[in-house]
Amino acid sequence: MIVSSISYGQKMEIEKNVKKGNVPDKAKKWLKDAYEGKKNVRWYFQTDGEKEVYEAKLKWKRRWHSVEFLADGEIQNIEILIEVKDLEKEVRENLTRYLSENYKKSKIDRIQIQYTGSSEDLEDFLDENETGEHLTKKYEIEYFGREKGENKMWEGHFGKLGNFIEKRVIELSSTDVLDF
Amino acid sequence: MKKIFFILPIFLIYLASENAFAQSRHLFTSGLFPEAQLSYNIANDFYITHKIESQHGMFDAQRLNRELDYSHTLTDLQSFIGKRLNPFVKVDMGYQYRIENGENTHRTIQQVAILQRSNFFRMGHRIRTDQTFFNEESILLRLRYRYTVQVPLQGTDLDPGEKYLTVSNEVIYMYQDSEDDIENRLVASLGFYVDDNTKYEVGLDYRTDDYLVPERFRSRLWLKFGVYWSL
Repeated sequence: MIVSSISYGQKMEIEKNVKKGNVPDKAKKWLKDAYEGKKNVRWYFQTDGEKEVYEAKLKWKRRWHSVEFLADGEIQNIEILIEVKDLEKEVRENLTRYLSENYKKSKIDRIQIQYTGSSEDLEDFLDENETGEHLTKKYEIEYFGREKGENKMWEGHFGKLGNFIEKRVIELSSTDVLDF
Repeated sequence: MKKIFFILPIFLIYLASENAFAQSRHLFTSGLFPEAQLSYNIANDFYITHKIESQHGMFDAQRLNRELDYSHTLTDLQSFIGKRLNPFVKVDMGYQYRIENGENTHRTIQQVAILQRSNFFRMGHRIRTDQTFFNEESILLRLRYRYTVQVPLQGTDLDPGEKYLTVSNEVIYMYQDSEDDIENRLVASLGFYVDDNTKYEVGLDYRTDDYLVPERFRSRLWLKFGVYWSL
């Protein structure tokens, strides 16, 4: 996927597999403690040319989790992939209202709930499945919206109640080899 | 590059085994299948695609001594005009001129392509209908469904310079002059994603047909390689 930022112009994100041995020990230790010894974990390294992060992807309690760590191994956030039907009623209503007010046509393709907070609070969240007051909850949503006669893919960030925060255009890789 | 050297031996081993079992006169042919494709936008949401693909026979199990012998099987020249309904759905209409021994043919093509994304791969669905026109014979009508899975080999997203794997299967139902048949096409390829405008693929294309024709089941194995440009 090619990502372009509205406010910062074009930028390319590069993402690669990375061997577990090359992941900071601090990140591996946090993951082992928080996910109670979960072994089937895929590790990735991402950079946009400036910021470098490590990302672990794993399936936990029937949902895909992406856990992002900074280059020094400090946890940054946890993203959990969910379906539209899993959204709370108020969040879904606010999202639907935003999309219908801003686009002639739209469709949500992918939703992740993003939790940000201290490493202790994030670990507690996984143990108890309660966000408490210390974690910041946001939604990262990829959707297509038709605007000014043009179809575009967007990555939007929405608050815990589904209120719009920011968005950027994303370009999907060409599908020519899939179509012909 | 090592993976190319993995595909080639599979192709040669298959050829050798077909050669060994060809005593039963199984209808099997094999050869090379180069293709090239160019897509470009012409207006908002509209695009054109040109494609040339060509089959070159190298082996035919029906030959008495089963020796390798080159023959041009066919060359297809295709052009499509397409519209993106949204980032996930495209519709195309196309025309194909086929050059082959005996009679060159004309074909009209209609298709809908749907993209599905998941955490680790992309899947493309293609529903296609086509009509082939001959000088003497009746029109050939076909209904086709293909799914393709594209898996990045170096991460969850495809980045420039990375490799990917594509596996596709297509089922084709055809009808001509009160007779019908089914063909299946299974393709596995290794792709090189130079950037979003240029991709290379090399792989194997295994086609079987005449499922509904008694004692005429036929298979064809092609070593396929292609380049795909999108501007």
